[in-house]
Parts: sequence; structure tokens; C-alpha cells
Amino acid sequence: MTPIEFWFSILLTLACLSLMYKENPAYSAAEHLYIGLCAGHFFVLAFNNIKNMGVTPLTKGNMLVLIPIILGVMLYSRFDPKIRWIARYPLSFLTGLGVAMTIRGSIPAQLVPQVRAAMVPLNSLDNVIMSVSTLAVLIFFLFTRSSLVPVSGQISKFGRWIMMVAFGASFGGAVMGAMTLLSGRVRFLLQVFMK
Amino acid sequence: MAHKLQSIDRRIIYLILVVVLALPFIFPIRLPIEVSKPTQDAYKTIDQLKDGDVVVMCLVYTPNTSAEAHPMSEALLTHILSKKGVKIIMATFTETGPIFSRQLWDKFGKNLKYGEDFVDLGFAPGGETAVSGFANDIHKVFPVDVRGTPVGQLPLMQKVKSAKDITLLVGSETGNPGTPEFIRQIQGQHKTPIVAGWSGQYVPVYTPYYNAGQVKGFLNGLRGAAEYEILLGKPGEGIGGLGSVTAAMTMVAILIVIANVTYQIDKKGKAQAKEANQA
Amino acid sequence: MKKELPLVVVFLTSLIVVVAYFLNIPSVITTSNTLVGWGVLVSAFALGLAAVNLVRVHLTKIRKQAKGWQFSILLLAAMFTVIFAGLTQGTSSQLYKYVFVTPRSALGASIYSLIGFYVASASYRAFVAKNIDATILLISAIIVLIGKTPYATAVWNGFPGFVDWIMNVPNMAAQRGIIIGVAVGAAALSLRIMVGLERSSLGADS
Repeated sequence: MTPIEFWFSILLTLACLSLMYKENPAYSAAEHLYIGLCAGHFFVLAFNNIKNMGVTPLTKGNMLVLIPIILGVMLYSRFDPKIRWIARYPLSFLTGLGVAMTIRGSIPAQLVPQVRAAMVPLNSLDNVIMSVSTLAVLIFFLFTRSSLVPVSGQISKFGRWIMMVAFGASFGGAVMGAMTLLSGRVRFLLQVFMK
Repeated sequence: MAHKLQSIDRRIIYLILVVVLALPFIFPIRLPIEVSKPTQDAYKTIDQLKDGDVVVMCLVYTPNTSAEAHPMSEALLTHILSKKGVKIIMATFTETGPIFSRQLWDKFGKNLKYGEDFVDLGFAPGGETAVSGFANDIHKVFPVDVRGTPVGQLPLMQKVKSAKDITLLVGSETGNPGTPEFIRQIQGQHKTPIVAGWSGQYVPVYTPYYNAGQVKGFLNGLRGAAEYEILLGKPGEGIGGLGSVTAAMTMVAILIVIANVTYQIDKKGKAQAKEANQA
Repeated sequence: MKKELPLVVVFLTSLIVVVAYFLNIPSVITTSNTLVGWGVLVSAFALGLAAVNLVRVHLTKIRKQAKGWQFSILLLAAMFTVIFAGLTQGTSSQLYKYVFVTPRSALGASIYSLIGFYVASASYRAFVAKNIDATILLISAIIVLIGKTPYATAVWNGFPGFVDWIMNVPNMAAQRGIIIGVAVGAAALSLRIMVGLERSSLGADS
């Protein structure tokens, strides 16, 4: 990093962190700069990807690629209320793909292996707790209370408590992640004094 | 007293937090780090790589979360590069991923021949759709590499066409697409082994995948990077930053305890005052 | 037709890609791979939507001199500078590093690091155990927070083992239940979208 880049980064970092004192123009400027940079980058990536995946094959004679190019251009009709309906077609296409990805991925790759892994032999206390807890959590997700399972309300409550343990663990992990990010910035700022 | 503590200006807490984070960098402390089983399993999986194996590294993070993810990427890549003859392909599904693959190449690529030992495919948009396309036909989703070279012209990529040709997928992730998407589209269909570096918040959520054997091993954020550096015997950003993060985590735990103690004292005081008024 | 044809597109696209996964029919697999490739290309067009929309919104703001219009000028200037550098010099160039990579890295890392401050502030003000659910959550959080630190063994020898137990037993059970529930729910919702029972994904005016 050159000295100019370093000091510019320090300035931007301080502008962002100044929000912690109070809202101020420096933070607003930094925020708008961030959005502008990201949007510009998205545009450049879009341009390059369209060129490499669309225009180049088209110039080499692959006429089929006109279909996704036309679909992509149709997306931009969203900006005019009169022709907004045209954007439904590329959205439908993307939705169809997304839906297919979910169907073909979630059942064989997520549901089946996890159900298989949940079927542990009940030969230890940990396995018994894990099996009962998994069932309780699944019962919590059921919207109807079966009259065949008279204590489903209590089982559902137990499932909720088990989920609270999991969310607490997730919170602990999230704190570690958040503090890592802040620690990275503090370390960067300390370079001003320790360089 | 309890009420005063509860209504303390939040900026004082912020200032204390900054000091707590900064002190371990100014006065470094050496902390004992026990290497966890998932990290050991990740290490063992990479250690088993042989000459000619192809590893795909997916960098699924942005500069926003690179403080947590980049140390994991560096630690994993250091280990992979120590295995002679292993080929590395970088691919990313986040728009700023190429920034980090470029940084890794600049740092580690001196002894590698681009195109034969190492290829950077750059970024492909589309999230899980792109991951699925990558699994079935890499050349379709990445027609050119990050330098603009047609992928078919690169010697390494002439042998690698789909996920079937990949020995190991290494993901350094703090976002989407991540492990669930890789499992749904790559591991589930092609049985490609996965080793992952996860952000701390995702570890509890993704642990079932490790338990079910769908992920061979994982690193737990900065701590995981530190553990991996210990296994490698090469201290890096992970060990360097862990003292600061540990201090901050302790501070948060103490704050939660203080908040709850003051809340209970305040609640009791209010109940007693109400009783006195009624009497 | 405006409303029916998109549903047909959803159905046909998803049918081809799903059938390609479960049945080994070469022509269907080739068509599926082509469709997925097209999806990546259409997604590339979607990336540019953000930039176009921002130009519209902020040009309007500048024209009307709405509150904060000066920042809109900064936003558009940054955007066009990055676009100019990226399209003329390429994303691997030194110019792009100066105008995009360096400031983006500093800004992104700094803005996200603010979460740390909010977590600390919320820990002190909001994370109070007012009922049994919150109590369980907070106890679990504190155990994991302390247990994941390197000095946990100094506090109590069994701490790391207890944290491992929490992660591998109750947490595992809950997250597995959630994964199973979400997988079933996602598959059910996807099938509903595929056959046209669920149309909200196509936009408010459909």
C-alpha cells in the first residue's frame, strides 16, 4: 500500500467510525462513496460478464445466446411503468432456475443426509438427548397439534428451549465474528502509531 | 446505583471497547490455544493431497468480512502449497472475491506457474445458479479467466471441466453462496469433498453438515485460522489478532452479566418501592 | 397471456433442470446445462440494474435539490470513476486498485466493523433475561463466549468440553431440526412456485 493509499484508507475508516460519536456529514459522505463504488463495480462486472458470456460467443456464430441476451435486456423494462410487465419473463426464467436448484439440492443433499445422520443408536445419554431434541424441534415447526400426541404442546416448548440454546451458541459465534471485524479496523488504525 | 449503571452513555462503552481491542496489540499476550477436532480434520484432509490433485478454492467473502475470512484463506492456502504438485484453481461467486485471489496470488504465487499450477477464474454472477453451472461445466460459467484469457487455452483447465475433475473444494466463506449451496450443487451430486472456513456466526448453523460427513473439516473464524497456524507452525494474522478478539469477547460477556444483575436489582428495587407505596 | 405465459416459463425451465438431475437423459442434461449457463448471463444483466437505478434515483435528487443532494453528486462521481477505470484499464489495473479496491476495502471493512459497537451496546442495554427463553439463550451465549476463549481452561478445566457438548448435542439437534424443516419447506414452496400456485415471486403486479 502506498502512503497516499494508506492515509486515504485511514481517513475513510475514521469517517465511518465517527458515526459512533454521532451522525455527521463525514459519515454520510463515506456511506455515499461506498454505495457509488459498489454500484460502479457491479456495472463493470456486468459489462465484462455480458461481453465474455454473451457478445463474444455471438460474434463467433453462436446465435442461441441471443435468447439470454434478450431476456437480460428485458429486465430493464422495470424502469418504465407502462412496459414493466415485460420484465416478468426474465424473472420467471430466473425463478424457474432457482426453484429447480432448490428442489434438486434440498432433498437429496440436505434432507436425506441430515435425516440419516439424525438416526443415531440410542446407546448413550448424548444420543438420546440429541434424538429427543431433534424430534422436539421438528414438532415445534408443525403448525397443527395432533390429537394423537397429547403432550405436543409441552414437547414443542422443549423444542423451543433447545432452539434457544442453539441461538445462544450462534450469538456467541456472531459476537466473535463482529469483534474480529472491529479488531481488524483497530489494528489498521494502530499502524498510524506503530508503523 | 443500578439505574445509573443501566443508563450509562453508550459512547463510553464504545470507547472502552476500542481500548480493550487495542491493548493486546500494544502489549501482546501469548494465549494457549487448543486445536479443535474440526480444524484437525481439515488439516488431515488437506495433508492427504497428492501430486496432480486439483483443489478449487472458493473465496466467498467481501472486504467487509475479510478480517475474519482472509486469515483462514491464507492458512489453508499455505498448507495446500506445501503439498508438492497440487494444482490450485481460484473461483469466486462474490463480486469482490477477485480482490482477494489477486492478493493471495501476489503473496504466494512466486514459485507457481500461472496456467499450469495455478489459475484464477475470477467471478461468476448468479449465486447458486452459478455454483450449479460450475459443478456441471466450469468452462461455460467461466469462459475466460480473471486476466481475460480463454479458459480452454490454459493447460490446467484442459484437464478440469467439471466438479468430477476436482479432488477437493476448499471454501472460505462469510456469506452466500456458501456451504449449503456447495453441498446442494457440488458435494451432493458429485461427492466432491469439502473443507471450509466459516465465519463464527455460521459455525453453529453449519455444524450438522460436518457431523453428517458432508464437510470433512472446518475452521471457526479467526480462532480456526489461529489453530491452523499452530498446526502449520507458521504464526500469522490468526494468532496475531486472537488476543484482541478474546479480550473483546470477554468484555461482552461481562457486559451481559452486569446488565442482567443491574436489571434484577432495579426490578427488585421497583417492586419494593411499589409495595411501600401501596402500604 | 401476460400472467399465464410467465408461469409456463417457470414450469418448463424448472421441469427441464429437475428432470436432468434425477434422470440420465443426455439431451435433457445438455439442455439443462445450457439453461443454467443462460441463467448466469441473465444474472449478469441483473447486476447492472443496481447502477442504472441509482443513477435514476440520485439524478432526480440532484435535480430537485432534495436533502443531501450534494452526497448524490459524490455517489455518482464515484460510480462513474470506477466504471471509467474498469472499462478502459481493466479490473486488474493499478488505476482500478486506486479508485476502487483501496477505498472499497477501507469503507466496507469499516462500515461492517460498526456491528461490533452495536453488539457491545446491545449486550449492555438490550440482552436482559426477562423470561425463561431469553434466560436460556443468554446462559448459552455466555458459556460459548467464554468457552471459545483460549483461557477457558483456566476458568474451569471442563469448560471447553462443556462448550463442545453444547455445540455437538443441543445445538446440533436444533440446527439439524431447522435444516430438515427448512429443506422440506423450501422443497414444498419450490414445488408450489413450479406449478404456479405461488406467484408472489413474479412481482407485486402479478
